[in-house]
Amino acid sequence: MSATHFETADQLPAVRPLTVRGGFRLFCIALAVIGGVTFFASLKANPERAFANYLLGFFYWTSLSLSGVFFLALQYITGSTWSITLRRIPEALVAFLPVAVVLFFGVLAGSHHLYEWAHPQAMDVHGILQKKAAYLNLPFFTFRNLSCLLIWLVFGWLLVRNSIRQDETGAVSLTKRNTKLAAAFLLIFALTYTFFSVDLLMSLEAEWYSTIFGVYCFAGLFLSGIAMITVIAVILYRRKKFGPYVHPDHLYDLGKLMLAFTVFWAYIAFSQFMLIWYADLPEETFYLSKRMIGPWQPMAWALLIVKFIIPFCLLLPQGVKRQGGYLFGIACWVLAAHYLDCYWLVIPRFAERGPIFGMPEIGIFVGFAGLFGLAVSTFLGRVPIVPRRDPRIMESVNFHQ
Amino acid sequence: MSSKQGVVGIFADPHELIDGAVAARRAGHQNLDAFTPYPIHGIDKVLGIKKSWISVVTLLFGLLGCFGGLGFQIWTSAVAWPVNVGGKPMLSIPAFIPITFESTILLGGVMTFIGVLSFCGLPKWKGRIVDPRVSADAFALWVPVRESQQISHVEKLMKENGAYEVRVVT
Amino acid sequence: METVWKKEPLIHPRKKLTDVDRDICAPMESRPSWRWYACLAVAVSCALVGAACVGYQLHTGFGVWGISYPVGWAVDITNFVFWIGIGHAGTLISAILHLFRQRWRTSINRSAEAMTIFAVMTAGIFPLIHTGRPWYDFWLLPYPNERGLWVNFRSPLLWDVFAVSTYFTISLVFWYLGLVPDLATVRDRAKTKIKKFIYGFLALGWNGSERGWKHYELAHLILAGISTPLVLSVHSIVSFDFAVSLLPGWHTTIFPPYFVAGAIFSGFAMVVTLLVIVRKVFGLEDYITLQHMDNMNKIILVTGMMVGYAYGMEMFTAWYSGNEFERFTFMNRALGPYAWAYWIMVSCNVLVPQIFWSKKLRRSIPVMFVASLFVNVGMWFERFTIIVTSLHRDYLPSSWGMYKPSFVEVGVTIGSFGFFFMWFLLFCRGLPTIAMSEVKSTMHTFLKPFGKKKVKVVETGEEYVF
Repeated sequence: MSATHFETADQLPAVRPLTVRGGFRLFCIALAVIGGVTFFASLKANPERAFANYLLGFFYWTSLSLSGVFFLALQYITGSTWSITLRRIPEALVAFLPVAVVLFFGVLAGSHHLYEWAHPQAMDVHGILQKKAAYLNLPFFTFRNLSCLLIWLVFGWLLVRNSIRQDETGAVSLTKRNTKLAAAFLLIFALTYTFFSVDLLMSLEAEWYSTIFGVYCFAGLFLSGIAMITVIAVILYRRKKFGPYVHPDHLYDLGKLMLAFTVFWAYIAFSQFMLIWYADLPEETFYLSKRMIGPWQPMAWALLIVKFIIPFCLLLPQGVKRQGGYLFGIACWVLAAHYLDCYWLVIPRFAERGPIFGMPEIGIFVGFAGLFGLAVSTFLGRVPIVPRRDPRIMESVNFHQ
Repeated sequence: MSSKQGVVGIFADPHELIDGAVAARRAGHQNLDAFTPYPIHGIDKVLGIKKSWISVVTLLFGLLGCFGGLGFQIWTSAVAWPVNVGGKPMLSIPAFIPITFESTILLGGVMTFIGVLSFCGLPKWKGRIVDPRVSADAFALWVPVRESQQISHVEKLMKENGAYEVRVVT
Repeated sequence: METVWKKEPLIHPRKKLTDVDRDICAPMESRPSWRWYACLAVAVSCALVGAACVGYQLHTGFGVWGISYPVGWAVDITNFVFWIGIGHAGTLISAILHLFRQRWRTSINRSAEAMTIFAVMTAGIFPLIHTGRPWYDFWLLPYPNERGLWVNFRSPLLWDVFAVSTYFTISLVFWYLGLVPDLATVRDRAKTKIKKFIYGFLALGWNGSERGWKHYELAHLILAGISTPLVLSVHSIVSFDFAVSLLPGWHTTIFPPYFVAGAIFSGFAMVVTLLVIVRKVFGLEDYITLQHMDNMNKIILVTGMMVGYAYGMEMFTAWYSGNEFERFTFMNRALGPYAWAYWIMVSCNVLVPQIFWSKKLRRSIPVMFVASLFVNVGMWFERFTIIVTSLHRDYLPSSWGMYKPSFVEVGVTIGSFGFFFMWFLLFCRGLPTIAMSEVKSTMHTFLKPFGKKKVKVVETGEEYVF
């Protein structure tokens, strides 16, 4: 239970933008610089490894940013009120999307190192790839993924802009407009994110196919998105930035969603694995056997334990989901586990002899993290930390289990 | 718990019942109970009702169902009479997951149901309910009283907090 | 400019607590109308037609069905999957919406859960008669027979046995637990001795004690929690029946979530069909409001789109795989001899729900009734398309063939509808169709403390059991 109960919206305290400390900014910039330096350094030594990690970082952080748009749209479409006081956090995640559009050109630059289908000579000799040439070719690939990114950017921008406008006017019509935008976005999101994940990750092994792959990536996107929202929410909550707007019941719901989507991810992952394992068709199994038998076997087991069993067991008890520190720990764990998942999808294609982990892996990944942190903190430093004039804010403030 | 002496107050509004319960607790009465058409949230603390341990029952039997189900499949398929079907390994753990999951849910769920019945002391066809209206729109507060002198005090307390009917059980 | 959010009440705002009991118990406390008898007569006759067909099949042999090589599974398994799917909306409403605290579900969960149970019962008939010799159906259970052999735990058909029976048991337990407080209400209202006895027995002596409610609420929450993955697992396991095979059109990794989405979709359509009738016939419009119907139609729209996504992904991946058998199967679906079934499926499941983008149509009773029927037809044909078109032309063109249902299969299908509706009609008269205690708990915000009253003091020496 929160300490205070508010009867009318007039009683709610004023809110201000976050004051982001200069130290944090410098830290983020330093990370980004490290990322840039390691990327260009490893580009010389081993371009495949450099671009693989670039793709991994790009996919991971772009998906996280996109999860902000998805979370917003989901809340609007379901008319959820509990999350309103937290809404600035998913809105802040969207701030990385414009950066992601620019960073996509890095993937394009490395396409020859990353994708077998990007080599015309490989296409000529490879029967199966020839049949896919109408889809897997660089011009179409560029067009598809750039349009995906731009569409998401437009929707994210509109949703956030309407929300910020509401801070001044408090108009109900803006919420209604966002609800309509959310419906359109979710429809487009389902298709665009599927193609985005098929293009960037599935086509790394150009012969392999799995109809569930888009859903698998989506499960990871939403799980990591909730984890990231939880991480930011707990940091701000513990520093008392939210005042009376956010209380442990809000955190509890984030924890509950995290549990639900941990199970959802496991369900989708098991469905894909079990069906391929059972049917045992060589055109499908090669993908999994590369990742599950031999040097990559410990990694596959680790994924099961790290991404499902441990968070599941830790999130199962009821009371703990109200404790900020505990939830923060699990959310960080989930984000790390999602990295492991993406790593397991991308790297085996380039390192059949076993997992490799060194400076390029760390450096390039934290480089993206730095840019992400910079974008998010800049956003939170510009707009009030709570959408105080949302017409349904009272339901969120007085929200209880 | 059968016949005991005490006072039943019947209220039309759950908020009044909570006020009455708070007053009775302040006056030092123990083992209060309320009989209501639907659960009143937050009243458990007022009445001094402890946490329910049903979730432990679910967890324990769920685990039993999980390991029991998995163990049984492994034993029958790989130990008791291994039969090669479709070239699948005898110990096909991925193929055992669905039934392991189902047996977890089955045992956990059924035992939760049995658990809630036994925790509530049901079925109990013989007893009488406090008032037929508590399953419709009445909210009854039961305050057990040890000494008869206290009865009039509790009666007064009920009336003060808005009970529209007070019954003395002796 | 408007800055205040208008919220629609869950049920008609002028209702009082006793009105809830009176209105919802009304069908149980009055004599059934001739309409109800007429409906029951139709349902029972259909069920009897089905029973006669099953009897004929058992007596004569399996040959009376239209199935043969290469189509060994057809209308029977279509019906099995269809009815299992129908059940999923009940669990979804009571479990998932419970977890997400969607309070509008309180008016509809009881009848949806009842529907789940009757649908699973109906579904169970098909695999049991499809074994051909149902008197040996106990072979499906893992028991040590005289040769010490066990069932094959690696077979998805056995997973089905476990999934469906677990689903039935847990749904029944969940439903019954929810019914107990309401049965107590019915018991306390009962006027006749026989009613008092029956409902008193079923209510198990529930007395509304707060200590009882504490356990009850937690148990309800736990059962909701475990039913949620259960409902996902059941239709996933049903999809495994197909997807673990090597057959193009059956073996595809998206099947589990795709089947679950389709099940929820068809289940909600069936709930809409039934509730449109129930709320009208029993005058429950104040409890099952247009807002409820609107919400359900939104879920139909969303799940319809998910199913559409799966159709699209199947097509795309069949092409993307570069595998000529995959490509052929999907071409054959859309353009082959069963193309009509495929296009019925696409138009009913993907196109028809698109009308629910309009709020006006989401709230129009005739429109939603017709649309929900279309969706059910579409979902039946979805299963038919998946099963029959994949089987009738597989790897070897020399063994291609066509399938046509015999009158026995048609009769059994009609019978299954009769059987299902018979149970539902009986339920509407015998048990409270709306969860009264849950509806009341959503109303307590409307309660206002009233002023001074006369206090009546009763002296009593009776024994109470607390």
